[in-house]
Amino acid sequence: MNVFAGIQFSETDKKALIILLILLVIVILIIGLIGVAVRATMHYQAKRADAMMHDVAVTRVIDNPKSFRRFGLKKSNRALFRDSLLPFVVLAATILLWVIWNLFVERWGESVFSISDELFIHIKWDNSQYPADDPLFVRVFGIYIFARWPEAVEGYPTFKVENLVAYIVAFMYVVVIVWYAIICQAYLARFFRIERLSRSIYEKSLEGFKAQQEINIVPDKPLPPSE
Amino acid sequence: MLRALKTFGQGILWAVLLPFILVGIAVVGVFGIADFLIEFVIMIINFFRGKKLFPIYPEDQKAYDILKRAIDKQNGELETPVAPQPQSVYVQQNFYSAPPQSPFPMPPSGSLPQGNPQMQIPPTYVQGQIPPGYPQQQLPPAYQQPQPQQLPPVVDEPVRPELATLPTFDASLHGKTDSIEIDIHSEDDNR
Repeated sequence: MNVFAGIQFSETDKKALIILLILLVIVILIIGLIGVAVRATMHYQAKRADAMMHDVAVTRVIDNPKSFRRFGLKKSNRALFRDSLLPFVVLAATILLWVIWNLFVERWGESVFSISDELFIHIKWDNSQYPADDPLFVRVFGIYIFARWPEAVEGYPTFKVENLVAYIVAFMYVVVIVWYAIICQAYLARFFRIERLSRSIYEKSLEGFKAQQEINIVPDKPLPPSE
Repeated sequence: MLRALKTFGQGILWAVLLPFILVGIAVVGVFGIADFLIEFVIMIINFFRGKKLFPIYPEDQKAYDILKRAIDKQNGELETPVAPQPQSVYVQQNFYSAPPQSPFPMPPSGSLPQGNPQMQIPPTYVQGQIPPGYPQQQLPPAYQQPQPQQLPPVVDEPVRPELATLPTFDASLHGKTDSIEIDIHSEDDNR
């Protein structure tokens, strides 16, 4: 039984469906590009783990995966602290600025983000503000999707000098959050890199080994026997 | 086109992975705050102890020392006098490889390494036997302890009487260190 047999598309529906598919493809492409960029930055940040662990691995000071992971995480934790020191200092300065500003204006209960919202365009996202025959969202198979472009604008951007400190504080909050997220992402990249290196560096592979071939042992400190 | 399709596929993958990545970043963010507090306390303690704020880990210090020694050795800066290693010369090997003309022969070039020529005395030499191939030599007879009755009698008389009145030397510094006055007189002068 064909489920879609009873569905009839008008020309407008077909156009809307094509536009929707194109939009979906564009959105997925953008997400893919963002993912590629994130992956590239994580590769770049993971190189720091190599620099951290190079000497102790080359000189055989650390000669087993467990110690490598433990020492790598110890150094990575310290790197996380050192990296996050500056954003936290900026955050502390921002909070201090917000406290001093509030001592003068007495606006403790207001959010700086709500105040800064007046810098942007406001769009009516509430479906009840649109006519019933032309709603913003329609329900298709239990999912709400856009049925039209939002056209009503509640307010235009305004700039008030008395709220300047609130704008600055909100902007600094966003900067610190993004900065700290990048630092956490770098920590994650180092974590995965250390995990992978701990397995690959001390790997003993028998791939391609034949018992008849001559043993070529480099006269150096040998690795400890595997567990 | 293929590249765009690849990016499209990665987009789907990243769209699926994005919530997990965000959760991971959030977890690390919370962990980072705790780590910040702990490391900050450690840093303060190090500061008041007079140490460096971020002291070098012992593993890093050890690796640094190893690398520094290796670099110094490569540059020839680490030339400490090394005690000569004892040469492990196999005397028996030298004996059998030596020609029989001389007890201390010089080996021809290209033969086996001989080591120290002074070490080429065969070990059987101390046993009073000459090995075959060496010239026959007179070995000193073994020293035997004389019996008491074979010792000559002891005569209790001066062998040279004139030596009994040898002049004596009286040397004194008299507080001087750069010259020594020596007074030479004999027993006859004292009388």
